[in-house]
Amino acid sequence: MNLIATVSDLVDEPQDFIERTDNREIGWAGICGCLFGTLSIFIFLRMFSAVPPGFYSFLNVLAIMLGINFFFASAMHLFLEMTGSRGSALKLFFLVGATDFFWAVLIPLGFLANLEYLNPVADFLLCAVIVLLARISLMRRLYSISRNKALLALSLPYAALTAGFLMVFVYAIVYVVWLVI
Amino acid sequence: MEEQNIPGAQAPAPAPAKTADPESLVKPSRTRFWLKLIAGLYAVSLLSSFAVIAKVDGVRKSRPKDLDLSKLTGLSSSKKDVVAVIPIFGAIYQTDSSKVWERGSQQIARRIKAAADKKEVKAILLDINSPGGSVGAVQEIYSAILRAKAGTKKPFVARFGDVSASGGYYVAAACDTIIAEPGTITGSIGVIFSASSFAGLMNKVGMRSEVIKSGKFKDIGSPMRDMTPEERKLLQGLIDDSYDQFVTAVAEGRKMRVEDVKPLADGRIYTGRQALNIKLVDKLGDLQDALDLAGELGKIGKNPRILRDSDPWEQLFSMIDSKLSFFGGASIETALNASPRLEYRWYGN
Repeated sequence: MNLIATVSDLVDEPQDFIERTDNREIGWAGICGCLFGTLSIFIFLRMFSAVPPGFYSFLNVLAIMLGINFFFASAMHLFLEMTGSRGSALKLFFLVGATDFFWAVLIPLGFLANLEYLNPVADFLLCAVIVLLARISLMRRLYSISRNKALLALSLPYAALTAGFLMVFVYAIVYVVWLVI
Repeated sequence: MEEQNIPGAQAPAPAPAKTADPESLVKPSRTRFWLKLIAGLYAVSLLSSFAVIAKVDGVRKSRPKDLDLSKLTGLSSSKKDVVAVIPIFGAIYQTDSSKVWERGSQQIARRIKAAADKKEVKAILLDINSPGGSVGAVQEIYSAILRAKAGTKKPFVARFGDVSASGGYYVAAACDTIIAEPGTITGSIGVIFSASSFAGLMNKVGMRSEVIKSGKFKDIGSPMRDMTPEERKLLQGLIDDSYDQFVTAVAEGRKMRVEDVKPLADGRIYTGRQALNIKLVDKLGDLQDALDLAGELGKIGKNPRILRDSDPWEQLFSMIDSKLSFFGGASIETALNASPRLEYRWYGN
């Protein structure tokens, strides 16, 4: 399978590509996207010595990326199925992986951040926004839904995670106060 | 339009099935070309990034492996020229160096080094409000200042608040300029060693301590018995040596002769104005005056931008720590760890 041709089809005619292509071809693009995206994030983090060197360190980042993608794809699919939109969960997972290609932008931005022209956190956020926009674009084609619903489906897992962290934080503060008093 | 007007004309033939543009089958699309170009650039940048990583790793290996919490400030970091303000409040002692939120001498020394290493920091202001502390801890901060000055040539300004006596003054002596309030309590140049004796109390309650030791001075300073004249003589030698170090440090820092410092260094305290008259401080003023002076010495002008070491995590831990201290945790720890030691400290406050 030609990766360039597959990605090119996905970029040129996403709707047609999603409808006609089987899981195998989308899966190829998704796994490659996830691998290249993880490699880019790993290299970016290594530029700032934020992760240790080595193959196992890369595998750790890859496992985290796959876990996050799996969690987000499943949460989004669950929400969309519950609200009556039909689509393939497996395709969604692979398409989420394919959008990880955009993390490649991190590497040139990492050079600029190293030269202190840009802030590394801002670089990361910029790439995250690009990736999220790409996910919205693909998701609305896969499930035939409006842009707003796709945005809602995408933001729900983040909202759930944020709420979870907030609850844990509040609980931790209450626990510390209880310890002190 | 013309065809519709011709009577008896045949219906138009069905449109031929849409076939792919033969050119698009032969030529790769424009997107493919761009994707190949991007893939090539990605490969090149990937290779170049290894050079950056090697360089970053090289720099990192030469740095001490301390946790630099200031990296977590993220977007709030500013690269404009600033004056770093490092507070030295309270008694100066060594604390657990692994607890970055504590204000022990090692943490202060580390902050001084970190501030001096920052490119945007043009001058460093030590905001001192301390009666001094243990000899080793005070000298650790003193040597950190000297090392930072030698390495970076950045000006150091010491500013005195309520009290900056004994070890607090020792630290300030390493700075280029000292500014004090007119009513600041300073001076108290000297060394103290205090040890309690519970011998009388123990005799009264009928308790006796048995000590087996390798040499006659091994339990020197023990609270379980009175001090012997020999021990007193030995301790006086330690005090005199530490005192000499203090006087030498003041003489070198203030560019005075040792003979001129010694008459001032009998342990007495001075107000800021008295200290100005005897040249132990350079100027009278408040914090803003000190900042203005630091800005001028750093060549960034009066009223400079200020960089305070305000790491959010450190403040959180510090707050929890101070809460625990308030409920008695720290006082119990201090009481348990109380042992006689040499101190550059004024016990008047």
